[in-house]
Amino acid sequence: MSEFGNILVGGVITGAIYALLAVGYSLIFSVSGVLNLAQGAFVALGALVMYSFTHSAGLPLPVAFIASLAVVCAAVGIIEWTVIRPAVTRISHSSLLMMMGGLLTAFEGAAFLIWGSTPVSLSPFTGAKPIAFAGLSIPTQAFWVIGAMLAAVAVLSLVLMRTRLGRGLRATSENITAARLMGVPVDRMIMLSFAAAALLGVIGGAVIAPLTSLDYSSMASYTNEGLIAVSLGGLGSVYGAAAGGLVLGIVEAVVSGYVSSLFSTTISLIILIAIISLRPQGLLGRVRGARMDVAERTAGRVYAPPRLPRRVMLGGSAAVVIVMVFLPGIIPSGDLRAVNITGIFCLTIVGLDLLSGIAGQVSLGQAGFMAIGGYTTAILTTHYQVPTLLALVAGCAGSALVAVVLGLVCGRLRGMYLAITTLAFGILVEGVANGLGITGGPSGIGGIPPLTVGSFQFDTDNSFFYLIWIVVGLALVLSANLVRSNRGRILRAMHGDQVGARSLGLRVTRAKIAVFAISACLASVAGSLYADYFRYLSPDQVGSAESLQLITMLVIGGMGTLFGPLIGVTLLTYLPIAFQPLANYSTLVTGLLLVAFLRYLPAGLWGGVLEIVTRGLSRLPRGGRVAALAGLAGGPPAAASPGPAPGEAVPAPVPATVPATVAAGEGVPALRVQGVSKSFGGVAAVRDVSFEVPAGSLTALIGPNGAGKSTLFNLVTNLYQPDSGEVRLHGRPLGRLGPERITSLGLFRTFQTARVFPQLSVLDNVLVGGYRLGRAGYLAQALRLPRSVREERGLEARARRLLDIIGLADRAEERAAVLPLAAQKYLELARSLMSEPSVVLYDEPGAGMNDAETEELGTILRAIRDTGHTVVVVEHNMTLVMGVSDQVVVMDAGRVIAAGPPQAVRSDPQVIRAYFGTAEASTDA
Amino acid sequence: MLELTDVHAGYENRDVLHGLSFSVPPATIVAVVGVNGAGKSTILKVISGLLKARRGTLSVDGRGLRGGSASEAVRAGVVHVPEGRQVFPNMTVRENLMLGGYAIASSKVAGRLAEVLAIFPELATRLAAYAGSLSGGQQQMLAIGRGLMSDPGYVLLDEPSRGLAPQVISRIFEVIVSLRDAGKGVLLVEQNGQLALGVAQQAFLLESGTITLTGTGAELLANSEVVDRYLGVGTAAPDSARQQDWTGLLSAALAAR
Repeated sequence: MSEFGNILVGGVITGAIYALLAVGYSLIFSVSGVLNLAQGAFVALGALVMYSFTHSAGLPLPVAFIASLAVVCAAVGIIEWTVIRPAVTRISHSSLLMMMGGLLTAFEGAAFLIWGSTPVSLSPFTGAKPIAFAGLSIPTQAFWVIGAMLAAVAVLSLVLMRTRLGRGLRATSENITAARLMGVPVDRMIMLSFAAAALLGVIGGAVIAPLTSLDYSSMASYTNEGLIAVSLGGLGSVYGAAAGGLVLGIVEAVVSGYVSSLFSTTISLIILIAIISLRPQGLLGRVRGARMDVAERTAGRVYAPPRLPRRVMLGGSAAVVIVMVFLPGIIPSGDLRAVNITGIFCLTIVGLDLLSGIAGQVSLGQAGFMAIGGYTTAILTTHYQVPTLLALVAGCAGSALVAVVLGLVCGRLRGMYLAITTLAFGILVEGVANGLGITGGPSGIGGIPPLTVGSFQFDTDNSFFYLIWIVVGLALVLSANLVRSNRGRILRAMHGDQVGARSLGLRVTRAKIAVFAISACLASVAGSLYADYFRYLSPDQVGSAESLQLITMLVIGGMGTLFGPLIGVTLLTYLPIAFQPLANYSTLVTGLLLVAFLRYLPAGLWGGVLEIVTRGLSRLPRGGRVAALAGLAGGPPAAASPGPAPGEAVPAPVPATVPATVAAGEGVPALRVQGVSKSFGGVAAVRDVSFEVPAGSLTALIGPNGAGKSTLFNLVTNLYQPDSGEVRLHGRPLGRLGPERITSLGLFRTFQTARVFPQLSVLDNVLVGGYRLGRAGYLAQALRLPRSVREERGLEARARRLLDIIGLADRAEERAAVLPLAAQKYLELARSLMSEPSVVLYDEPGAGMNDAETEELGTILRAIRDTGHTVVVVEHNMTLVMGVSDQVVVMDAGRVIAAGPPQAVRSDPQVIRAYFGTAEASTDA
Repeated sequence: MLELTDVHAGYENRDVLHGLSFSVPPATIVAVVGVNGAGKSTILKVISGLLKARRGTLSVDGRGLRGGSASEAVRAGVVHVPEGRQVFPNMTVRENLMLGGYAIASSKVAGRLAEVLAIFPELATRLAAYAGSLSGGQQQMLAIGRGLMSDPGYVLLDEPSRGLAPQVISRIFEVIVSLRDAGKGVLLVEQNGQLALGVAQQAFLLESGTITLTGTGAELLANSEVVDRYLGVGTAAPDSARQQDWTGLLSAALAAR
């Protein structure tokens, strides 16, 4: 009993430290939306500085504490001011996360240089004699630890929830622009949150140092434990963070006390993954109240690198290939080994770029997949004499499987969770590799045979050179093909706006898992080749520190460029060799490089080159941007279009696309809403709503704000599940089909706020809408099989014709972000028609358009109807509604109060009272 | 008087405003009309400090602003109610309003809250609700109410009628007129030109970042060019020839595969 009690006490003490860490994470996350991976560094730094002040300078404890606080806060303040603050609004969340990883590395490097690798410890504040109580032995320091944690939680929650300062802090996290407009000094808020996190770090470091010893390497482990704790408890919740820390500490203590310390991390990681998949908001986190149909804020801009013209790219590639073919003859044979190592990492990084640079999903554990591949090869070939090639394939399959499982766990969640899960995964793999007998523990496995294909052994530097670089070349070409194809477009679309991508009926989860599995396979193959080439594998070659190194390579080279990261790998492989005498500085320099690039050149080296080259190539005048839109709003469409001239035989307005589903039966309404109700927290938003939308009609849904129109759209597209009632599309009940499935049945919707993908080109934005028409799979598209190419051409032709009609043909290659709002709205209409829908739901297509633009919109909406589509619009512009619709359905307070032809509804006294009020009456007069 | 003199501003390497000069006197509604992309919202961003002007000066009641700082503008008595409401969805209505009073002395906040709730009694019953759960109309009232918390002399409104039902629009415009009557200067950017020009004493037409026409609201309403290009003729009744053109083009495009 007392054994259990003592284990529990140990667990609570560790848990309190984790809680302090987690509270720091939670604070920064709730103010700036950043996962502060340097939080663990604050703790260790606090302890190390305290050590210097107490032991080296001989200051008394309280003085040393104040001095340490000043030093750490100053350091963090400078970093916040020079690096973080400018980055928060300029780079994307995923880049910011990488930047914090760079800061952690830089702190580690600096701490190593200053304090070396000898662990330090402080003397207990109140004597070393533990308190004995009921068979328990409690060190007095434990009271300091727990007291500090409780005080931190109490003060923070009080400040955040009860004070003006706290409101300002929270407002900054909710909407930084609006907070600024309130006069909240948001820069100071972000600075304050970091200062408070540094304070928490110093307190944590000071109270824990007497109980354990710390060195530079403690930084990463504290960061990891804190991250796991805060994810357990719930990001952004102070109490949750504290609870998560305590749970984690106790679980670890109990497992290592009764089972083994190897399994303590394993168990806590398994718990983490379980929590993330079952309760992503954490133990005590609150589900945020944001509505699905309201735009999700993406903090910074997602950077999309420019593309080289095809000719330049082909020429450049040819030159690189020629150099590579002759490289072994040019360079000294001793250097070839380094070139081969570079190749191995290049293979990994092509996958990582697909995942992070293209799709925007951060993996903090990519080296874990190298480890799976490497160890599978090592174990199968040495212990079981499996042929090397087969072992490589087995590793690849294993990695893909793990990726799919991890992907399923966090597939529906946003980027941060993949980062957390992959971090946990990397640590788990490293722990297992170090702890198991079969992996050889920390000393690793030797005697791995070289890769053998048929009877050929790749056992020389020269043969391996051609092998690895041909594989890298293939991976590059296939990835480049994929990125530009239909499947790749969804990856680029979900970068930055996953909800938007999902709302278009894109299978985001599936794409995310697919790209994660592809990247895992590439890493795994690289790991296998690594083992085959070195004939030896140990955990530190593929440990979690290596994962951060990979990210640094990616960023320095240029994310999203596929080729650029190869430059990053080359640099980071050669710099340490070239500056051998400065090896001690390598960690610090790596961290600083990562941070500096994200801050000053987020495009990376190659991205920077691309920017300069493409800018030089495109010094052409950009045909008047306003003119295109003026054409759109003013003149007849034919004038803005080089399509069939008005004089020519205009194709008869027959339905161009009558999807099979329409043919279900004459007289069956395209959409039938029957007795649908939905309440939120006891408040009825939609009550027993029934109406029908005849096929080929234009129906307007109107009603006061809050009447439930958008909710109804969300119910029809199953973003929400109705409490009762059903919706039928061409007679087919939609039941609980997912939004993606509904889109594929021919129902397409837009959202109130224009939801274009800002970093994609105008053309790509339209093409994304045609995603579901693409039949070619990932492999077919990566290989550019003829049917895939044909399909792409067909889609592109269609998209260009649609752009032509809305007057944006000459801006097809520009980024959609630069379009004015009305043009973005038209872009959404064009996109909606790409997927050959039978029914389209438009939520306020006219919002933000001026009256002249609205008139043109009316004509377009009718044209959409006349080409065989059933159109439903939610709209407040009565001129538009009355002018174009065949049927008007009026909702008020969740009910349908009238339905019928516009004129009848217009004069319905109930409608006038509920909806038009006096404004309409006065404009009428 | 809120005054802009020769203001140039833009984003990255793109200029949006090219030497803009105008003023908003107290107790006056000034409306800005123009196509999307003409730079209307950019004007508001420059005044409220979200965007720093590249050249030109800004002054409020004779005192110059450095520009580029939103809290400076709020303290000078200028608030910007942004496009799309931008309430803090996970905070309560009360917290949202209190945030509007962030820049004023905390002793005055309670008094201001009462005054704002007197303007928008609709919000008084929803003080404890999360702002994200309000209807679009209530959110717009909250956004305006939040702006009024600091008792500004000048209010910049970006498309207050956007996405609102007619009866809410008339309610919002009642408030806008009452703000003017209470002596505040209002700069109104609005796509619903008929409505905006109907209440504005002064108005100007913005085209590609330059003012091309100024006058009273009524004058602009009577200008046939303005009506043609920005206000429309007030009906969306189908022009059959044009309709056929569109339909033909669209069906040809959709047939392309």
